[in-house]
Amino acid sequence: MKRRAPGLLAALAVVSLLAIARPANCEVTLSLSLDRSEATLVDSVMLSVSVSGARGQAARPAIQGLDDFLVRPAGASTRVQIVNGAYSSGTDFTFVIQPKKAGAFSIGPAQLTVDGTTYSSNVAALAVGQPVASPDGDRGPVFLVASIAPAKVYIEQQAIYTLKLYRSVSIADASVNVPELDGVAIAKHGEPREYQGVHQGRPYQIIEVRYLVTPQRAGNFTLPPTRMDLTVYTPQNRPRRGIFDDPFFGQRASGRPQALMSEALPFPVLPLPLDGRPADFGGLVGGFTLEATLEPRELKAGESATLRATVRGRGNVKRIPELKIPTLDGIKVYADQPVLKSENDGDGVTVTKILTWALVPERAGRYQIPPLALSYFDTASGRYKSLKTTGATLTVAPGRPGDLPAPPRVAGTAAPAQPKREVAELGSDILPVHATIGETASGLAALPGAAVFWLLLIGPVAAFLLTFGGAALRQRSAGITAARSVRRAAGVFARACERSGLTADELMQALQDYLSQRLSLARGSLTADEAAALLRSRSVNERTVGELHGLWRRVEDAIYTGRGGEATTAGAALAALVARIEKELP
Amino acid sequence: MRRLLLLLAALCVAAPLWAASPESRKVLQEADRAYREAQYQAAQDGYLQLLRNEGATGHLLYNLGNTAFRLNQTGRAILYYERARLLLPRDPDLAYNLARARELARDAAPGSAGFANAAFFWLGSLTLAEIFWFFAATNVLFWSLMLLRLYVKAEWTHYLLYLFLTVWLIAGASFWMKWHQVGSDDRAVILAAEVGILAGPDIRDTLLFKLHEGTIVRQERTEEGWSLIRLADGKRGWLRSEGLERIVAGYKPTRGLSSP
Repeated sequence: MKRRAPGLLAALAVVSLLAIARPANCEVTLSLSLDRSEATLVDSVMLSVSVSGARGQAARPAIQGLDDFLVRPAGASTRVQIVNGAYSSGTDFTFVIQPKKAGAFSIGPAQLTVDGTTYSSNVAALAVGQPVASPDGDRGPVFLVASIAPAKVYIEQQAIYTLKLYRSVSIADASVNVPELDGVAIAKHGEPREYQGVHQGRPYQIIEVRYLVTPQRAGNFTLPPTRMDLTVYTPQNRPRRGIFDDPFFGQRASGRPQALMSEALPFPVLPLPLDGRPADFGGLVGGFTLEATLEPRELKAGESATLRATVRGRGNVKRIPELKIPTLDGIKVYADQPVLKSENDGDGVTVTKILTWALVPERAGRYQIPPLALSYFDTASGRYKSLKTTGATLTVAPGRPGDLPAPPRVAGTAAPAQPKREVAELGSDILPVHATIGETASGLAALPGAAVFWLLLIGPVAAFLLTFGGAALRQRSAGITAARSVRRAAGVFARACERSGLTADELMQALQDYLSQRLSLARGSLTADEAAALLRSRSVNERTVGELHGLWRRVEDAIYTGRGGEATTAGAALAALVARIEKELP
Repeated sequence: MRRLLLLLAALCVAAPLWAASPESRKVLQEADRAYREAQYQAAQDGYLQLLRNEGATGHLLYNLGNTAFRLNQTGRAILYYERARLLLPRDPDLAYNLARARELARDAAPGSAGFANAAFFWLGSLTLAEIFWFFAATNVLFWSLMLLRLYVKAEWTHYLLYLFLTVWLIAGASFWMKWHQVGSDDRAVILAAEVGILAGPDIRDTLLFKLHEGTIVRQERTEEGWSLIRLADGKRGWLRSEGLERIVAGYKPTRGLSSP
């Protein structure tokens, strides 16, 4: 408790002072400053913006004129001042800026908007110049050196561009921006190496990165400087106070962003000479060897010997041609897939290409295997060279008939399958323009107009629905007509019966028509029994059915006895009976 | 009948020959000649004049893609080739050249293959018009068969009806899918050599990542000269709208109909 007392008392004092103090000034002010007014491209400059009067934590101000700089925030601190009982507060923002190009720059103003009002700071001037080499050779605790070897190359000859970072202090966050050059391919070569070395008598830790540079065309190139951005930790001169007070824990060293630039390097690229160019030269440039072996050199007909050619060297290995063997009478030749192996060493890429053929003699004898040849431009001597293997003799003893690799070919049969090889792409380009541009969207190549579009989509459906509806309507209409005739059948029969002088034939016909319509029967002639049975099946009273049957018989008797043409009196009784039937029918 | 077929075939072959005006044919010949003589800017100007005068055709857009490729305008070449692909989806030259142009684009742009694209795999090989005409023919045949079925109740009409119903449903779904694809195609091509993608539509916003010429992105929306874009891997951000161009912006798939 005793140890805490001074701290608590101090805190209470500060709070008391703040409580009784009055605000010195509510006006917001901004000021912008640089830690220097002149710098070089490899320097970093501290930019400070001080905001005073803003209540609470001020927002980060927007700073004009930093388009040509890399900007990294380096922290913000809040301060409170109490002077003569009046307090003021503010925030200091710090940035580290690194110029991207040389020139004179105006940095600022910094602007901050508080409660709808925009406040601006002053503007600071900064002159940025090219980095100047130290006259005494001392390049400081960290610097970058570039070199290229060989200094002069031919088209497509490999060169190694080496970047060495010398450092005697701790660094972090290093990033390299390798320059791009039109007509020159630059690719990273191998992994970075780190070792110790000495420069101007001072020991340095050296990090080395290599790039493979391959020019695609001739010309006097200049490799632009390479820029490396990194954070440099400068040791502070104060005693260490514990195991955690170590650069590893970020205690004793303060990091500062810095940019390093290497030298621009001249890079002349020579064209390949026309003099002495061999006819079979295919663009291969570098240094190569060619070897060939044939094993075994003595064998029997039908057995296989292997001819192996090995091209090894350094250069534009993609241009190593496919070596050809002329047709050998009496020997079948089967080419195998070439094998390409590459190895990275410190001076470039060494490639070995192995081409293999299987030679199968068909009959006994001595065969001369011709030498293989390869032409290339030797960059070491600056001259074209032609490599040639020594020929070989293949001695073939007679073999047993069963040992022959394949029976004699019969006309029409397939040839022995040759081993397939992937088609090598020698270039890349697009296909030509089309001579005709065709029609603009019309006909079947385009959608139709709105009318045709909807007609084709809706028309068939509409046609079907209309036809379907019409058929249904017609069917319903026929039903209505039939029902109507059913309802009217009794009336028609009653009116027929009221006619004076109604004969038995006419009465029978009217009765037949009534029953046919009323019971929806096909037109035909019913007998008294059939009519009675039909009415019974329709649940008509048995008595009514019996009366109808009797009257029907009376009329039939009149007809069958030759009195069909005479007037009958049964009409009124039948009319009354039909009226009853109408009531009893469901 | 054979004479009639021959006449129809001759008309189909000859149609493009008289489709363009004599002046346009002359412009085309001059543009083709300029291309052959490696005067690619003149060739591009000629093709663009034809585009304005005669409208877009797949072959014309393809030729424009070639001139842009020759002029090292990789982004514009991919833009024209993609537009041409909407009209010539099965052209082998176009597929080859588009692949070559895509090789020059610096950013990897993985495609997004959804279930619908996998199920309707044939949509990419057909134009909207081709699918429409197939659906229209199927539509007429299907409803004609329905009509026939009202009067002919034979067994063969029953099975034929089921067959046509299946084809009609597939054709209809394909047409709807393609219509939706074309109408909602929000793909755009980055035309600037390198463009920074920001967290918001303001130059002071945080730089999220950079894209390069020829990359195909999805343009979600635009606001006051800024476009919100999305990549297939989910990255999103804003860039000035001058830095990209929609693929379907210069291509109208319909005639007399508004896009869906």
